[in-house]
Amino acid sequence: MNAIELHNVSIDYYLDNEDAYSIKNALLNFYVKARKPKPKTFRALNNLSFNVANGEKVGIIGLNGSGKTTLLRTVSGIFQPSSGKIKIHGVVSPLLDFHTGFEPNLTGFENVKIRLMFLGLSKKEAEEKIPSIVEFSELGDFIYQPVRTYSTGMSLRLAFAASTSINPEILVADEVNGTGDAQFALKAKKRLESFLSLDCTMVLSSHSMDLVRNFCNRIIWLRNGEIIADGSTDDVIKEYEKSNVPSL
Amino acid sequence: MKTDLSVAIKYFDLYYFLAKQDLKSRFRRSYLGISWIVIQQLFFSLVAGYVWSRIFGIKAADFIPFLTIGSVTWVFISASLVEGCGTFVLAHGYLKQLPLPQSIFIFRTMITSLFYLGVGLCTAIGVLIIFNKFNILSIFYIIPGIFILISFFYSVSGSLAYLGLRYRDLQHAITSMLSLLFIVTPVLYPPEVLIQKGIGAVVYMNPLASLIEVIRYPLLNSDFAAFHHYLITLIFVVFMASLKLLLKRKWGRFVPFWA
Repeated sequence: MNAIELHNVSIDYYLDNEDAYSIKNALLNFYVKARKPKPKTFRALNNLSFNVANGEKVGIIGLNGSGKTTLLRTVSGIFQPSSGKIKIHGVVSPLLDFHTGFEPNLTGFENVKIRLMFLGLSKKEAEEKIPSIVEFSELGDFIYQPVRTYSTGMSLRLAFAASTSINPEILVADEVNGTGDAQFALKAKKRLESFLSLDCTMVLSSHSMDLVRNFCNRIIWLRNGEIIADGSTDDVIKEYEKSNVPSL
Repeated sequence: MKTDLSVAIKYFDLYYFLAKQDLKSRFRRSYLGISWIVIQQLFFSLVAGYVWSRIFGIKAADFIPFLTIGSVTWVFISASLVEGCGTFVLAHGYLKQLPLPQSIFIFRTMITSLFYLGVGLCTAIGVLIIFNKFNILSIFYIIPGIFILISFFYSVSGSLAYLGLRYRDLQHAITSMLSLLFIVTPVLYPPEVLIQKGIGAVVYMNPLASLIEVIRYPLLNSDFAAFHHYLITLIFVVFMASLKLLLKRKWGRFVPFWA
């Protein structure tokens, strides 16, 4: 049984200039009957087809700009393909803004509650989870202060603790990693390890070969929106590292 | 439509919570909190009501309740226009990061405005009681009007959510049009004034005039408003709801890219 099926999926980004997005220009063009220039597009993903089986843990690797984040947004169901088809069987919990995405004026408590509810938990489940999240992130009573008063470390710790507290059906994660001072980093590493070892379908992108080697049993290597290699972890990583030897 | 209804039910906890946080953060640092809405409303209708009643030569006791209900409804209508445009723009973070139905954010704006409407209508009823014009039966007669008003908000802010995301200057355009709309819509004066002066077309062609009438007339007179007001507003709502559906179908998949 497949959790995610991609069939000839392409994603095009439109490269309009910002001005085109105004009603003034739209009306002007309409009256002047300006011949619409064909919109420029950038093909971020080119004709990708692959399946992710239930319980499979897939790592996405590739250089910056290779289409990793676009692919993750697509398999999460956020981006609809410009052409091709995608089927998602199950509930996806996307951790794409792992370290951000807090509303500064709301308290840490409220932010965590919103995040957990967005990740598919009910209001009650979210409330039950919060005490353990507060404990792990070592925020104490600061959890009732607005996030704008937090230090970077505090909000990173909170975001990390909240995001790794869920029990997803399909996890799609972009660049997960631990954070904080030496003592917290150790704690975070342990928590991340047990989180990534959960018995769920997983698609995660990373620049850390150690991370994907430890937690994925299949790797997809992207370059310029195309799949260069798709196979077992060791084989693909070996090829990838060979091709990326810095020429300095 | 059917899918939006199931979204409304399934995600109630989520958008209700978001709307509650929106309201809370709006009043977080003010000492008077939510009573600001009531004070603002009362201040406007009592002072402006008194001044204009003298200008128009109408009894203040008649005019102040009339103005209060009209302006409460107007606040709700203008929120659907102005805040509707910002619905997806404000939710850009969520739209890019989570595969959620887009309508959640339309309902979020709606809940916030419904709260204002609720407080406003209670204030209006308070004013009616003060001027001894309140009839408990009128509550029953505004029910259809309230339904129409809510579906108006849904369909108008729903369409504008897409349009306002695509055309970022639409919100400014609408904001500057609002004062003109306010003048041609009988909020401050009875619609009969215009009809008697021979420019009734302004009233009959303006669905906002009918929208105010289906709320104001029942509350003041404990009876349903004239049938054509319900008809005009319903036709307008159906039109806007179809537009929303069309926009969702045509532009829905672009929303995370544009946001």
